[in-house]
Amino acid sequence: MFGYIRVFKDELKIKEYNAFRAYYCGLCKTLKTEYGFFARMGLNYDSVFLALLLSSVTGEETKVCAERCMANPVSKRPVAQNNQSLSYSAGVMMILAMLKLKDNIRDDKSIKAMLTYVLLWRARKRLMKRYGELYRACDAHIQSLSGLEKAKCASVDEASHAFAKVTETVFVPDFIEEEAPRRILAHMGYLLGRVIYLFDAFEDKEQDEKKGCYNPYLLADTVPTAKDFEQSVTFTLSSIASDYELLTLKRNKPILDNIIYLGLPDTLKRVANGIPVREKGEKKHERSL
Amino acid sequence: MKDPYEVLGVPKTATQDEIKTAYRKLAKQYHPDRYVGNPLADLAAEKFKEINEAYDALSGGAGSAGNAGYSGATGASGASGASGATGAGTFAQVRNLINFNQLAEAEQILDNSSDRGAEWFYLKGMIFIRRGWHEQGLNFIRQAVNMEPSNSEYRHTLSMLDRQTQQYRTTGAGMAGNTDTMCNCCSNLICLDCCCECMGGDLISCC
Repeated sequence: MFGYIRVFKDELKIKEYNAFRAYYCGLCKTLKTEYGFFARMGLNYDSVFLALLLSSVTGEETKVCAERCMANPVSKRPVAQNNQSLSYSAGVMMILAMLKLKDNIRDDKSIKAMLTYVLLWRARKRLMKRYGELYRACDAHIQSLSGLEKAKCASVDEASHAFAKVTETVFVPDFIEEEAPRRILAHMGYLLGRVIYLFDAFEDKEQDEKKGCYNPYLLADTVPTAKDFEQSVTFTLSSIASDYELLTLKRNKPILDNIIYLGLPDTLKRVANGIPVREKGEKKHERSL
Repeated sequence: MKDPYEVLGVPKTATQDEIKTAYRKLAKQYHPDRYVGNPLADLAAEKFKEINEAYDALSGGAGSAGNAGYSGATGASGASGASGATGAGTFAQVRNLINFNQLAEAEQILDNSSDRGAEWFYLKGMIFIRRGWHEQGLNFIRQAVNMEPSNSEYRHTLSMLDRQTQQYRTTGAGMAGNTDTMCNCCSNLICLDCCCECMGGDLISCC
């Protein structure tokens, strides 16, 4: 995933921000313990959102401890621990990162991607042992996405569908068993995947035009204006919010409200008007600390 | 039945007014109009019913039924948004399939149909919207409205979909503590009054 699902910091209370940070750091630590040092390179806000959302649905107890880490060796920071949702989100993040690397190696023969793949070799083995089935399901959707790209599909709905199917799959973990939340999470996941894909395509359209890469917006009859794009994506965001309201959330509601009602529209505004979404020093597909 | 206080999210000590406010907020939130075109409309309808029942229980039976506009909409305008069966046999069947989220079957029947009137575009649009293909979905429904501007069902659906977008924006603006409020209006008036008084005039005569 790409780091588009973010909090709108200015409207968070300090305690909410601290709780968000605890999940962020918690996910980073989980990645390290479960998949090794290099796995942390893929950490992003989208996976933090997934961890927050899933633990709100399950309502599981989350222990928060103060710990040091490499990025902040001096002061201790709150870190969320021993959480099923964190562990699952770490797995999901790894699956998507591996698929992305595979895609880069196949399409661009990128040396950097090949090296990273080698560094993550052991992590991959561990990942396949735990989430092999989920990995293969996602891989199948990504394959159909690259098929559409080769066929120069001009429909944004169709192109985003394949990626949306990936997020739909990963948003419904086995440990959530009830029928209703499973349906809601699946639909939310689908629409969030769609939004992420649209953001990514709209943001990269100039770059893709220069490089001659595939982008559904470049193939459409007319490239939508910033206003059209904002209008059309806001409808999808409103459906996400309607889905979200159906979930019974047992914790962290203020943070999730902030992401759904303020963070997502803010990102949309930025993407539509060409304002950078990420903070200084935070590279695309990567993260900042 | 669940505890009505819990459903409405109010304490057991809540007054009738507090109960009413809580009910109105929730009824607006889960109103079927907000779930037109959403495949989870059935879950929203359940929740909506639960809220109405809880309110009925707490308000002593005077009831949400008398509460204009909220409870009445469950049936006609439809949790489905595609239930007003006006069309011929095939289209009625397609509407049915859409309501049960059997989108692939519904689409197949539509694609085989030779009648490509406004209703065809409308139903095709509803299928796309339910599937999450909003770009094409909205285009098809707009097309249906353009082809048959007098049809109230198509117009109604389109305005419901537009309103969903607006409501989402309003909720966000409310959370961000938008300063465009009544307080602001009053303070502006007072400022204006001060300015007027500086210049020898008066806007609010009592202060």
